[in-house]
Amino acid sequence: MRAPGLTGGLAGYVVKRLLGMLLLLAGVTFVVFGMMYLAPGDVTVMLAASSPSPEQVAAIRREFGLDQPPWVQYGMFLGRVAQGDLGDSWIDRRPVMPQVLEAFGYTLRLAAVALAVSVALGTAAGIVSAVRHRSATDESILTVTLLGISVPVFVTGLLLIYTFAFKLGWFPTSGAGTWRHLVLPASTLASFLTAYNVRMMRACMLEVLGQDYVRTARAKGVRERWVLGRHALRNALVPMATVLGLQVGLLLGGSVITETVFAYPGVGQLVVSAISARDTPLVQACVLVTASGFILVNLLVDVSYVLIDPRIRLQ
Amino acid sequence: MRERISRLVFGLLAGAACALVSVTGASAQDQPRRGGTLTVITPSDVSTFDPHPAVGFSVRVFANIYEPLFRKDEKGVLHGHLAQSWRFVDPTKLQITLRKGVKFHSGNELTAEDVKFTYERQLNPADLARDAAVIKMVKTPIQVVDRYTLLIETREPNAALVDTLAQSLATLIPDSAEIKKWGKDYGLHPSGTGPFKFVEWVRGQHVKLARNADYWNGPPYLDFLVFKVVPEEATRVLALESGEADVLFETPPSAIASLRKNAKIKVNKVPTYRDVDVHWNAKKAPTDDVRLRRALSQAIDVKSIVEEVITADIGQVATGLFNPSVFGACDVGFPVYNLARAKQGLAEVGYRPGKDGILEKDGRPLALTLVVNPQRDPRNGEVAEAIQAQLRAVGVDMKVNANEFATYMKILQSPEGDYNMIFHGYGVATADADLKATFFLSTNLPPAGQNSPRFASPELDGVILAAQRESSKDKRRELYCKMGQIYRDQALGLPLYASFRNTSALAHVHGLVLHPDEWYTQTYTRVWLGPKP
Repeated sequence: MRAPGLTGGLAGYVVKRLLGMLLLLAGVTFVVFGMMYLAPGDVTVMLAASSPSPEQVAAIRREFGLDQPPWVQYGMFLGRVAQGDLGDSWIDRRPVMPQVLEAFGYTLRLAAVALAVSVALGTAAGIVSAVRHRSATDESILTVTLLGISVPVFVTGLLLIYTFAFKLGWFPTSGAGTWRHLVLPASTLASFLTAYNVRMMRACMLEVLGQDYVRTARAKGVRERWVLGRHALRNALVPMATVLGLQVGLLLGGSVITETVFAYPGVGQLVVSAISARDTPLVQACVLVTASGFILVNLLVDVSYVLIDPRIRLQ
Repeated sequence: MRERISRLVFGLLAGAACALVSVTGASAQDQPRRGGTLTVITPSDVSTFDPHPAVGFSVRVFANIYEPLFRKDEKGVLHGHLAQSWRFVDPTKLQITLRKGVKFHSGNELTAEDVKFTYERQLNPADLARDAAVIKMVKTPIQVVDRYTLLIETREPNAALVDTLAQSLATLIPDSAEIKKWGKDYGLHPSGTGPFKFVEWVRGQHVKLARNADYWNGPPYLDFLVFKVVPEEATRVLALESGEADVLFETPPSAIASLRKNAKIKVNKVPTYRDVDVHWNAKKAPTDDVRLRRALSQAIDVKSIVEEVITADIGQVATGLFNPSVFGACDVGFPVYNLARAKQGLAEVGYRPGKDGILEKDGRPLALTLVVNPQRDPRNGEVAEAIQAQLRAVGVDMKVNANEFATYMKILQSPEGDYNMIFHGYGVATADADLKATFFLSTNLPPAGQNSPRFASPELDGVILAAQRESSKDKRRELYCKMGQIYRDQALGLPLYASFRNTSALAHVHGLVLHPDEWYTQTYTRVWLGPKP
């Protein structure tokens, strides 16, 4: 049972974190602005072809405020953001937010499927591996996970396309839109994440299984299923929640390589093309959306600690 | 007997039926058929459907929606396209009469006002047209003579004006009424005169166009034309092999051999107007010394690099400054490789072997920088490494500085020019040497332009401008030869190779006429699909 007043404490904690998030996001925009400002080359290179006239370059710079000092540019940007306007793309002159949200939607779908698969498989295999420590099963699982971690994502992706799209014709080689488009990219991401999760879960379980309270539970004659499920697993899940939180955060930023291999229109691809084109408003919007997602997921992870282990108090 | 007769009759009937099937089969194979969807793979997405501010690969799609006044066919022969006729009323005034009755997809009729609006919009810096520089010789305002006639005036006589207006890049004519109607949103409501109409654009995934049944030049056979975005090279090849796409416009060099062995795929090697050079920086020490540039040029074995690294699939050794498919091409004695002379030349300039075998002069090692954008042309990075290795063999410490496009362009056009050698490729979309030649004018010295060898002389300017004004083709050709000789004598760099493009298509794709222009002019009007194997 949760202590009375904890809900109120939790709500206060969440509100405090959400307020902190605004400051953090402002910091993120500053860093992104600084990096884009310092990056060599600018959008005029993309917008004006060979040997543009100085008037043309000046017109482009004027339109986007690039002729202003950097602090003025950044101030103008913050002013717009405060009014809820992230601006238009410098390349296609369309509002950036709908583009980013659309790409983010694709990324969310891919991340959700990949994570669900990797958590389910990773947790189950990790527990089996820990329970059957040093058995042939444990060794086999470890070998497979080693492969999953070592093979680069683009190799896994291309192998999956070759086998399941080209040879067997079960799934499309690339693109997005239907569940069939999701299978191969999600499997590619899941192969790496599952391998990682198995190893993490195994290590956490092994540590917990060596604890005194587990030995005591077993000595009391508690059934093994209860020992594992009630005493060991719940405690092992706390570090796992941290790892999963980080993985969600990484996936929300888009998996650039997987998205590129599968021509999947997620936020990873969008931000890379925006950086190449020096399209600062689009880069800012991509980073703001993914950073917000990252911060929110971390908040959820912190809250989940309380649910997993009621002894934990959030301050 | 009866049985025999019936067998004979049956045999004759069967034979006749077979003959009929083979005849109809043959005609089905050879006769263009209406219908179907052609899917073309493209490595990146469209940025907008407004042709003027659009960047990147957008123009590949546009050539099917919009059209220019003039067009060069795949053999380089100039034709009037939206222009019915044209004539120079004096050396600086070109009168153009448009085809009558040409309709935009919106139903509006093409008039001289649309052309005037287009060029004036492009030439207005405030409108931020990407390729305005291409037509900067055109004076504004443009004079409309009547509904179908206009007069284009240039500042100076320009022999390549019609060729310039024949490259789809920067010369596509959109529907001015629709641009005014939609304003900023026109990019999502394109209206051109081309064989295909815009249907949908799913960002990052595909662009779908549909047959324009009212196309003035005879409607296309295809019902739909789809451009599918696939950024990853290996996935593009697999998408073609799996039959998900029909055309792979640029086949990656590494896949050419395996696709050639695939009976379901045709790989077409097409000469292009593009060539790739490496230029010395004539402004930066120590390559500001022509004697050093000459000696170093002789130390680079371009022939072996092109044959071994580029290979015959993607390029042929350059013998002059311009691609052989381009008007004005002239063999001026490249490649200039001569190792013995290179060593002798280096010694004459005063370089002696120093520490680690690196040449030194006045205690300073011969250390240079080569700037390259490895993504722009196939195997640029490998070619840079080959140049580095060959120069190392004669004692030059050449650092390779590889950069993505925006950084590469920044270095190329920066006032300080922090490179001794730089890669520079030229897609001469007009098929006329003038387009590339103007890069070498003194007015295009960085930061104003992209004169990447950073060399200018009154003689070179004189030759380029004279060739631009000259109306005699023979004299122009001579002048471009002269320009190549100046380039060679001043050792401004090394033309490496003239590019080929390898376009792969599934065997059921017929009527694909491949254009040497890099991407701008490729249309699919006459393409039809046979039965899929």
